[in-house]
Amino acid sequence: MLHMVLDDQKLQELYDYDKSEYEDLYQALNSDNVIVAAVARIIKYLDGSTEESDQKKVYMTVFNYINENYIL
Amino acid sequence: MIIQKIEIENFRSYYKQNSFELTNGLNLIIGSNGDGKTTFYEALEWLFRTDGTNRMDTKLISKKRIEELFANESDDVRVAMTYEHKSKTKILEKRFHFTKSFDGEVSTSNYSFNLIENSGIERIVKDGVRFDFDLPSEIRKYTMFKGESDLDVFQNSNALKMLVETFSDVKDFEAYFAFMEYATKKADQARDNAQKLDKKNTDRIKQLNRTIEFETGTLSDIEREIKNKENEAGNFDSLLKSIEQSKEASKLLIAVNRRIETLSQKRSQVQARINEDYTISLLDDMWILMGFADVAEEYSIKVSEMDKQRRKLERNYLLTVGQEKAIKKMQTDFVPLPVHIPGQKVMQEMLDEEVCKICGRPAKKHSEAWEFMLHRLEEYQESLKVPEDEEITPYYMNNYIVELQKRDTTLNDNLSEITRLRHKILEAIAFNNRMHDEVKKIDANLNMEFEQKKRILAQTDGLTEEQLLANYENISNWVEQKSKAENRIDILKRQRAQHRAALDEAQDALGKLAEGTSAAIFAKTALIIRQISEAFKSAKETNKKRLLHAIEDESNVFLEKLNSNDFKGTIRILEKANGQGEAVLMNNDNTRIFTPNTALRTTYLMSVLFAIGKLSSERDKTEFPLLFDAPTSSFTDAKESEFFNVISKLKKQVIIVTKSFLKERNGEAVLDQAKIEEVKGRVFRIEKKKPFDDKKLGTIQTVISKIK
Repeated sequence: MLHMVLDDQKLQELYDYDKSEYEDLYQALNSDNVIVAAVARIIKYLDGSTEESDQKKVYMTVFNYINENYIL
Repeated sequence: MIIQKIEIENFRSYYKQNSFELTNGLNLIIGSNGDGKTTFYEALEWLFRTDGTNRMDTKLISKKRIEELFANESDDVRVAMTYEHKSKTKILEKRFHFTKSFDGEVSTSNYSFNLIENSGIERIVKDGVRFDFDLPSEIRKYTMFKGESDLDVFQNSNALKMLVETFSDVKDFEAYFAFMEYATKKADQARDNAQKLDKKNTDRIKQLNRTIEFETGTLSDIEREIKNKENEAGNFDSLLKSIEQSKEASKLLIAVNRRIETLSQKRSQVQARINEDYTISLLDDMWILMGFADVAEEYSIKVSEMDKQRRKLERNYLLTVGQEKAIKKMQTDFVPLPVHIPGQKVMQEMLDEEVCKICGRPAKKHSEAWEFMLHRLEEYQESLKVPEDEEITPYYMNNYIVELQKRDTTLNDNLSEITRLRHKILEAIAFNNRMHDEVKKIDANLNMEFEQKKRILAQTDGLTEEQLLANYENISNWVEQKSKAENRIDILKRQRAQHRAALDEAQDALGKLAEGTSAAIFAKTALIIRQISEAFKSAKETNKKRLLHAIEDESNVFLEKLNSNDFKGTIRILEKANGQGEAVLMNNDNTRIFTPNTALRTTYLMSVLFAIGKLSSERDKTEFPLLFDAPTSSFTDAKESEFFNVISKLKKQVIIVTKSFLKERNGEAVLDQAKIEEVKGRVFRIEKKKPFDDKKLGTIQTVISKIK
């Protein structure tokens, strides 16, 4: 799933990453690229859950991660 | 998953215990009609049923076994399959007990459905429904096929959706879509809250938010309408496809009906021109005079003869009457003069000269002698006068013959009219004959058209004439409706692009407003989350397309193998607007082949199945067997050999029950050993145990022999 999402043309152009550098979720989680790491966090932490509490938790994690790490 | 053994006990024609030891490759179970091929397939269908239906049914019990039991005796129906799955050997077993009562009734009891796993020396018995973990029901749909018509897995309306969900990660995306929707909404809220602090741009922010709200709502409406229109276009497309095969027949039928109508009208017109009221013409148009010429001729001859006769008779009569009269005159009234009196002149001369020149004596005037001579002269003159009242009585008292002659003359004058009448009658009859010939020709043409119509209707899969005509009428309407829907979709898609651009613009503007403020990072985060959300959406579509392309590619590889020396076309998996799918065969000019021959249809659908099977094994890292009941009925011998050859090299467990490989000898179906030798794999022969009573089901028993 990670590769399929990172395959998005628009995302690649806007945030300048090379999807082939990320062979697994672990590498993506530790990526310097905030967008790659955010996508990896969504996939890993949500883990297919549809529970609202899980959604809230993952949202806060991802939102804060982007807020804190993305340099304007 | 590899099936190692199948055991069938007291299941219909499978009397007592029977087993098939299968190999991981091609397994052929060969039998003739009624030998138990379909029963074998149905036994497995019954075993694989995990939904709890059709658990016990007396119809499943071997009739022979029932008849054999004494009262109060019982036995079991059992179907079991031993298989290896992920390095474990398991037995799936379904069974029930049956008992025969004193009055011959059979009752069932003790149903059990178990999945037995041998782990070392331990035997673990689980509920049979757990078989779904090893061969999921959605994959099972792509493993068992009965006959050639059953092969189109896309016939089911949600088959594509199931296929995509089963063999791709699309289903996994659903949770992420829900999350991304949630996250996008929350991030937008966070951005809006942060921007509220920006008093300077409050109005502009409000305006942009209103624009975003409006554009989002409009986009949602457009998306909804696009979906509706796509469904609409898809429905009309399906309708058009559904009648595609009958379209030609509809057209032909319309043409035939038009010709029949034209010919019928022409026939009526020609028929109307035929005037055969000869009885009326006989008197009204004086056709009765047709025979007049002959009558007139005969009449003329007879009248002529009569007239001739008349004249002859009359002349003779007149001659006769004249002679008689003259004689009579001479005899009665005529006074003969003496020979020396020469006649009246002499007499007058003698009177004038007053001398009798006969006797020579004078006869003075008024003398006795003179008076005598005068008297004699007067008598003589008197005698010469013919009495006026003495007319001759005509021979014919009436003028009838003359009248008849006159009529004859008139009739002869009328004969020219009769000749004209004769021509008129001949022309009328000839005209009527020509019209009759014309009607005959039209009738012959009409018969040909009616025959053609019968042929058309006989070859249209049970469609009635009304349905065919209605289809034809509907075609133009449906084409128009489909075209309208497609045009509307184009317009909506353009509108969607415009509104998306407007939305992006408003969101960008909102982001820019935040630049340099404390809300900047919130705006950027909201934007990133939105962009990631879009990436998830496109990933799902890409994933689905990849799967379909993978099935297409694999299918075409199999199609090539199964039709190496034949025309085959190219398989394409089409995704329809309403989410349904279709596996179709295309020509090289990208036109669809709607009616492939049955063998090509079977091989292309089977190729799709093999492709799906391959995908399933790649996904689960395990193979699944394929089971076909009589898949090659429409194949030629050559095609069949080629087919089995390809199958045997598939490196896949395939079980085929078939009546192929049998040939007839002395009225009996026997194995064609030469053909069997050509095929790699295991071969079983199933047949009815002999002798059997062809009218008594209780004597039928399937016996199995392993051929190779």
